Amino acid sequence: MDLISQNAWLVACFPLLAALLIFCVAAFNREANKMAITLSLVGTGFSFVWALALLVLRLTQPERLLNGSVRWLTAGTQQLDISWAIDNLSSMMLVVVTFVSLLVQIYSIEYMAQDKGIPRYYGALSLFTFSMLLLVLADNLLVLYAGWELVGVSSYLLIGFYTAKPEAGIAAKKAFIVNRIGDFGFLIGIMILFYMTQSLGFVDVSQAVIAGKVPGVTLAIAALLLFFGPMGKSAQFPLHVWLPDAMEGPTPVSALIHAATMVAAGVYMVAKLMPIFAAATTPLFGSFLVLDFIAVIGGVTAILAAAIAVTQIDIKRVLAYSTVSQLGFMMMALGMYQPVIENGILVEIIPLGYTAGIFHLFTHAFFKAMLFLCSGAVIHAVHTNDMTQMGGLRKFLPVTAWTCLIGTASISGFPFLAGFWSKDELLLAMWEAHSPLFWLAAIAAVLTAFYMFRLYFMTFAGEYRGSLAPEDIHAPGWAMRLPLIILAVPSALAGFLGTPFTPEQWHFKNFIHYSGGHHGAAAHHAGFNGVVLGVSLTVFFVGAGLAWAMYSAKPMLDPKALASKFKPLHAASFNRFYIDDLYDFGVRVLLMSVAKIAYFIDKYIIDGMLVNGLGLFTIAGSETLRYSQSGRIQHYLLFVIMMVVALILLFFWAPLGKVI
Amino acid sequence: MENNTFLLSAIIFLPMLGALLCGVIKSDKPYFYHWLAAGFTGATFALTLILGGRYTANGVAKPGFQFIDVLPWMPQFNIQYQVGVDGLSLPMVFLTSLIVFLAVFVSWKTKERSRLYFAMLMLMETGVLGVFTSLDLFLFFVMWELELIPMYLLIGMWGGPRRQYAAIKFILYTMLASALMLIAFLVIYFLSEPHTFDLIVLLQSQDSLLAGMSRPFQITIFLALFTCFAVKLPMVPFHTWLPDAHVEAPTAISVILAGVLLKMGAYGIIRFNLGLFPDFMQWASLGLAVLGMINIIYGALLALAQTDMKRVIAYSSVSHMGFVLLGLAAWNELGLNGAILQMFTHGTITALLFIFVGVVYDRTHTRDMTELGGLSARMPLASALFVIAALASIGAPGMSGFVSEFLIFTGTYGNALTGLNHFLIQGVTIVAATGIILGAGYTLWMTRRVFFGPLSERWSELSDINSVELFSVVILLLFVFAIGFYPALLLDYINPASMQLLSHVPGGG
Repeated sequence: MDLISQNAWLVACFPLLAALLIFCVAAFNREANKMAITLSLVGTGFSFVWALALLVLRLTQPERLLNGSVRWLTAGTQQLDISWAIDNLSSMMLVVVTFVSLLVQIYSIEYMAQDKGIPRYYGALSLFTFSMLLLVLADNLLVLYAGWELVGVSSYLLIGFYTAKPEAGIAAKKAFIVNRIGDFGFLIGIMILFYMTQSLGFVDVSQAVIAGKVPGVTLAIAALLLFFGPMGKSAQFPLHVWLPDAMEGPTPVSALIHAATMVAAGVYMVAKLMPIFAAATTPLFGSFLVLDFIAVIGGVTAILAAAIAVTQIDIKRVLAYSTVSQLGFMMMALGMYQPVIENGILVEIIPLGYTAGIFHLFTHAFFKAMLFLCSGAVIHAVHTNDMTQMGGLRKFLPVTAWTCLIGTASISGFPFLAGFWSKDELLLAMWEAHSPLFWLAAIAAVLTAFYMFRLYFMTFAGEYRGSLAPEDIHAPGWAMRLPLIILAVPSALAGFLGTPFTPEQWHFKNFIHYSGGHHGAAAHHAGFNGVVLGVSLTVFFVGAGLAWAMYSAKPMLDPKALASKFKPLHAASFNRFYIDDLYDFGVRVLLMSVAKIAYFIDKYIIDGMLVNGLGLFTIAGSETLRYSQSGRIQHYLLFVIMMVVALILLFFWAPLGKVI
Repeated sequence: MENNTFLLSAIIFLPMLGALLCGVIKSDKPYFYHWLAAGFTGATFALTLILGGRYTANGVAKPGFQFIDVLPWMPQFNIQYQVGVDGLSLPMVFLTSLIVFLAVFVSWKTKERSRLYFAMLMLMETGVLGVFTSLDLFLFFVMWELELIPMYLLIGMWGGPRRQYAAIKFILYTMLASALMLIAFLVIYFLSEPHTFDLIVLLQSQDSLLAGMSRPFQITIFLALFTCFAVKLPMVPFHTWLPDAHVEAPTAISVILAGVLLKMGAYGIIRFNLGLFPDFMQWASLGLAVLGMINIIYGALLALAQTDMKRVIAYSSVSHMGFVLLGLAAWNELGLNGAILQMFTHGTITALLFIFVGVVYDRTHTRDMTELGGLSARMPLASALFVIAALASIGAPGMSGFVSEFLIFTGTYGNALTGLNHFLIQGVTIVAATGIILGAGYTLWMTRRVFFGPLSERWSELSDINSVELFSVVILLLFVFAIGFYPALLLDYINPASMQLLSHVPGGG
């Protein structure tokens, strides 16, 4: 155990090593599939074992420190370090990331078997795993930012994996740039905090912040800017537009990066930096704090994405918008707090949804990864993403259908499955914070149950509507089935770690809770709440029931009739509320116009008028020079050699110097 | 400290010796001059490695000039041959010898007049190395001019269709600018007591030197020098020679132009403007920051509007060199280290990008992105490496661009100025940081348009990157990654120099 605790950082290095080796070999042999798969699995496998060991260490010996640092550079007398530390939160994330990554890599063996560029694929997956682990290990803003950017890079590589597909290239670029917009804010936030506290370490910065070394307004602005990063990475409104397009990447990638891990990085980051967010008690305006902003953005995202998901017909897009919506739920929960007011002044904030948000991240990682892998199995079988071309697949893909049903039920909040408990915790946090967002979340939860069961019914229930002959629909093999079955277990059962009835020592909140602030604000939980539980149950039955009424084998309501009845609403949802078009306009029309105008100025005003307007001089000069350009090399050579000789003479023959 | 070892002089004049040999030896063997140039530039590079190794004592780099070689030259004018390196010039010497060495391999396909071509290439290297090491203003001027003629010929003789225009524009711009430099140097010479061109003496006695000038006069000299270097940098609005020169120049010359020559401008600003006129430099910080911001954003916008790959990268150079200006406005070690590192970083990364343009152009004979597309299908290795270079260019972590950008932004935001300027520079920094979004925009846009998407029939016969091209790319990438992973590797050389540079200013640093 000493070996592991003293070398905790190695958890990230195995996949990095694997990635480097794979890329090097791939440069010489692009068909080295077996080698790439083996290296990648071994790398991530080691990491998984390492991560498990670290988790056990955190559980059994919480007093043992798992941190360290190495010098990165020195500027002046200031030293910037690469530093890492593993707390409870990060040890849990390490396990989730390596676990899902490992399963996705196993799944990919079969799923990607027909594709070219397997080494490139596995190299990028390993690189991603490394980047994500680096982000999780980070103990200062620099390493966090580096990991943050690197997951963006690997996501870019993986979304654009199908290089010949134009949409893939466009989506990859879009993902990177939209994320960069968020990172722009993140970077400025880091700049401000670094400047104010003269340190980058999480502990140092939060202590300085709590000690009041950063003026209130500045801190609020810095925290707000920091949150731009998560808005990009966790696809929060209005920077959510990249995630659905990212579905152009291979489906296993969507499962790992765009459902379970990378997009959760934003949520993780907000939780990790919660002491900073919680210390920002100066309102942005009125009594609106940064945490309120986070909650509202989360709420808008949750409801908006859910409203888009209900009309999409591409199975992966439904899941993508579902992911956006669920991330919104997590953000909403993280933004819940209880103000501590002394003498009419807000002195402290006690976050209420910290555990709930992370708990939902935890359960969501399993069932959403599994749902994506299910969709992959379906797409693999029927060669289309279009749900109107599916139906009745339960007969052909029984394992997929069952696991998908478990995932659907779990995310929708079917009683006692993982998603039920974590969503219950989310709602509980909102209820305790007396937040009006509670009702918004409830509506979004109804929509969740609706679109998820709609997806299930359209895909697996009824009769097959596609054009393939039944014998051409192949059920997935073991490499694809195994990860589904393994993921089904936590998708169903992980919630029992966080029920109101779970024994204290086994409870999720006992392991992960907020412990920052002046009073080390202890985990505060009301436990069981009848109203919230009632709402949880109601939203599931309303949403799922509606989906059953409309999309089951014998529908009672006609979706088409409903769609035409609410035509504008349906159109708006189907067209993603025109947000993507707005971006398109902004970039293609506004930005490119500015660029073209700049180029016009450059070409015709700066170069044309000023430079050639110094004209007489230029012309005179060039005319003169033209005469010297006889076009004969001898002349040029003569000139140059004369110069050189003159120099050498000047240098070596000092007396000549005297003559001059 | 080792003086008169002539190790540095050997480095400077070895390429010139190679050039002379090109002139003396006549051979019809194919690739004779290629190998000759490779040998001499390679030996130069090897010597710089030795220099770098011996520069540190017990693994710690000292501030101040080292490896000083002094010889009398024109004693009656107090002109001497004096060269030396410090933490500012050492990375530049290293960069130059590296880039020129690799440029020989990039020019491997040059068949036409290869004798003259490689002679010019090596002659230019001596000029550039001289610029980065001269500790005598007169020598600096001579070396500055020595670089120009070969460059003029290299663009004008081996360039594209409009090479004459581009070459003349290049030389006129720089000549005009260096006239300003000469005037400034002469003024400094005559105002110093005793008259001297010796940079070490001038740096030590700068207070008395400045005391001899009236303030408007000081500003004039300062601006004369600054303008000269700003042209070379190139700073908006003196940048229009650069895209033309790049577009017309052969690949290897573009590599050197962007990789090394632009750094002469930045080097001059740091060495002379900052070194000799620290007070003014500090006074001008806000202006520098604004100019840097304009370079960054304006350059990026121009890059967005291009369809020619070389123009995109040329304007991206304008944008990336703006970061250097911005870093100079910081007046702290973070910013200055970042600026100097950015010079090195930009040198290697832009060289990489230009090499790839050459790789594509050699095979397709076009750089027009509207005609290209989907090349990754035929050139998988080249496109994979290009993606790495592109990511390096937009500052992905693990590569050197990330480090310099991070240092420049954090440094400039925490600038050491006081009063209103402090806050204004912070504001300018934030605006300039939008450059990271625009930079990702044009770089990835170019990547997608050239390498991704469906492959047109026209390009179905292309071959992948060959081993000669690969050699240069891999070497450059090694440095990009090494510095990205462990920037102390280079910054431990740079940091003492920037601490010393900033120590001159009362209240600075």
